[in-house]
Amino acid sequence: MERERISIVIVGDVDHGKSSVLGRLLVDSGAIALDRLRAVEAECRQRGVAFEYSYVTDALHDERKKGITIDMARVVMRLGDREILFFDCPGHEELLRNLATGAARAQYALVVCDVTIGITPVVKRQFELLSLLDLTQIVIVANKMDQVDPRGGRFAALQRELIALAETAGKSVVRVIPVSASTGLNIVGKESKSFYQDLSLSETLLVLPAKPNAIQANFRFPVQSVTTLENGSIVALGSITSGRITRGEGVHIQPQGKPSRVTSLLQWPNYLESAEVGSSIGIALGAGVELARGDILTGECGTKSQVANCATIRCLPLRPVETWERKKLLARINTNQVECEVAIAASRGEQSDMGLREVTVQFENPVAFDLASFGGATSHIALLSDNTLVAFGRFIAAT
Amino acid sequence: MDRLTELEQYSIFVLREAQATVSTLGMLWSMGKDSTALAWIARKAFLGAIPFPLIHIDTSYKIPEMIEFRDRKSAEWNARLIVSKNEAALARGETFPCGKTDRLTCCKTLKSIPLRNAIAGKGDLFERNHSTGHFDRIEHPQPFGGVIVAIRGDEEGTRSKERVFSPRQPDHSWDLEGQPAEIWNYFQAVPPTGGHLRIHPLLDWTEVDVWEYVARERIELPSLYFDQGSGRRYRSLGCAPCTHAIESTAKDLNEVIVELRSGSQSRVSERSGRAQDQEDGGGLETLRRGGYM
Repeated sequence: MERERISIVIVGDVDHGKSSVLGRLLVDSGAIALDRLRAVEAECRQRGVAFEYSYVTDALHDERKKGITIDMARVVMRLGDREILFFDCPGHEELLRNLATGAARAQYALVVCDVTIGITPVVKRQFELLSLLDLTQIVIVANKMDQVDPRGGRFAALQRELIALAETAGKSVVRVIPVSASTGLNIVGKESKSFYQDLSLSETLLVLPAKPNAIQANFRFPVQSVTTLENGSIVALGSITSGRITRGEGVHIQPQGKPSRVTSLLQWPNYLESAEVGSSIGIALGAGVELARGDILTGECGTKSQVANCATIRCLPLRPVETWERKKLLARINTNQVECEVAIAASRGEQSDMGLREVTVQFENPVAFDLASFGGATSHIALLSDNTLVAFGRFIAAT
Repeated sequence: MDRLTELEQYSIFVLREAQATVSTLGMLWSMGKDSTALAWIARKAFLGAIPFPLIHIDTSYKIPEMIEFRDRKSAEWNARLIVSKNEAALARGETFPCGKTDRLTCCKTLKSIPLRNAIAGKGDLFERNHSTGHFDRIEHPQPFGGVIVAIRGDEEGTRSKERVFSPRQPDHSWDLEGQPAEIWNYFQAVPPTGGHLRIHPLLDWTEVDVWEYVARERIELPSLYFDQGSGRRYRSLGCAPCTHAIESTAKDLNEVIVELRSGSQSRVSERSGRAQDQEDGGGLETLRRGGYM
């Protein structure tokens, strides 16, 4: 049988044990090459420390020396009949951009929270980030259970608080698992005497649905580039971000709103009858059609995309807001790039300068997009200043 | 959509983003399984014709079969083939096999420097004329704004930390601590002033993914990857003096896949036969921070 792949971002405050939980999972489930394991053992001996599970993914000299994760690492493990792609991310608040890098493409989040400390301001900010992403389900582990009274109320209280926090961010919690990276409790193996007899972390990862997000029916195709075939037909190259398309169907070219028809679907060296979300294809639209990179092809039926000069977005700043508000910025909306200016909406009380914000964006030209409630890539927006990402978020209204 | 198709389709998306947003692209090709699979994906992405030149960093210590494979396949695909060499260092014998340097210095001299030259558009660059089979010196080479590299995140530690679009400074150094955010598919397409971009379409693939894809697509590879009767084969192809064959009787793609998934190689890392890795404390961090692929 073909192995499935799922992707998971690991989220949590610094030192709550993200890399250690992952390292333990890799070692206990036998998913790490033996020569790499020996190399970690040798390095720990050389440094005079006990076996350090976080070294398995914290590969940089500095990460091991300082004992923190500096940048996101991709780690693929084979577990049973599936492949799991982890994005192991730093917890430091100033490294949120690295967390966002891993999180944006993941299907699930694994939140690691130290049961002896509980929810911190950094964790709250990380949930704000999660609220902007497409992933809908999270798995939570309460780590360092070996350091608290297992029958005490610490775990139960943390479980309640984390579930409430997840709900505020619009995410559902698959399971909250009490674990210990240092003893291995409930990572792979379970303890028969423990109060917790539900699935361990590795068992949970094996039963997560491989396709957690419902397939959207509405067709969306941001155009990456345009090429002309020898027969004169214009072909749009790109990837389907939502829905599906069939040869012969009608489409609209947005933001112009011009109608056209799909004459053929190319996936070299083949021609297709139809293609679904995730397909990187060429859509031939016959001769004489005008379109360019940045346009979006949308389906003839179903929800229409928004077209507007001005929009309200909910975004997370990666640079302090006062450094980029009311300045000329570059907005990236899928493959489209357009100059814009941001007016900050009313300040939101005690919220920090770097908290989630709603802002109004005025675009130089009309742009096509979808609202956050529609979901998917066409509701995403990134704002750049001098080629640096300053904020990213989702459209919430056309204004 | 199955896993291999998903990986392939995303890699096509990345290649098309690179072609649409980065000025003057090239793709490094070592004739190994990863970059050969990527060349095949590039043909798919651009409807059969690879729109950028393939660049081979020739240390002159490659196994001869790889060179024959390179010349034959590039001609078959009708792809531009550029070869970069450090001829001066080779003439002076400043190499590990000649006994004048250690392995890491040799990697720098014969790989990092010609790579730097190729990207900067200088040094000893040659282009294959597919009709004559000759290599003509490129008189006025162009610098590249971006090079596509077939590295994978699972190969070793520092590669697991790469971005899909990774900016490099003018001296080719990799600012690992200052990497840009890469959110959704908003890749940083503008290189630093005087620098370039490395584009990594295979970052999410694993070694087994590549093998299974090669088998599914029936992509031809150098036969060095397979046991020809000696009980040995190469798991990773590099320079002959520093790359060791592993003990294996896997004769074809299916046997290689079985061996990697559940057989004798399933718990040995891929680059265990690459001697230069061991000299860097088990990783490639020093070389890679300095611009090594």
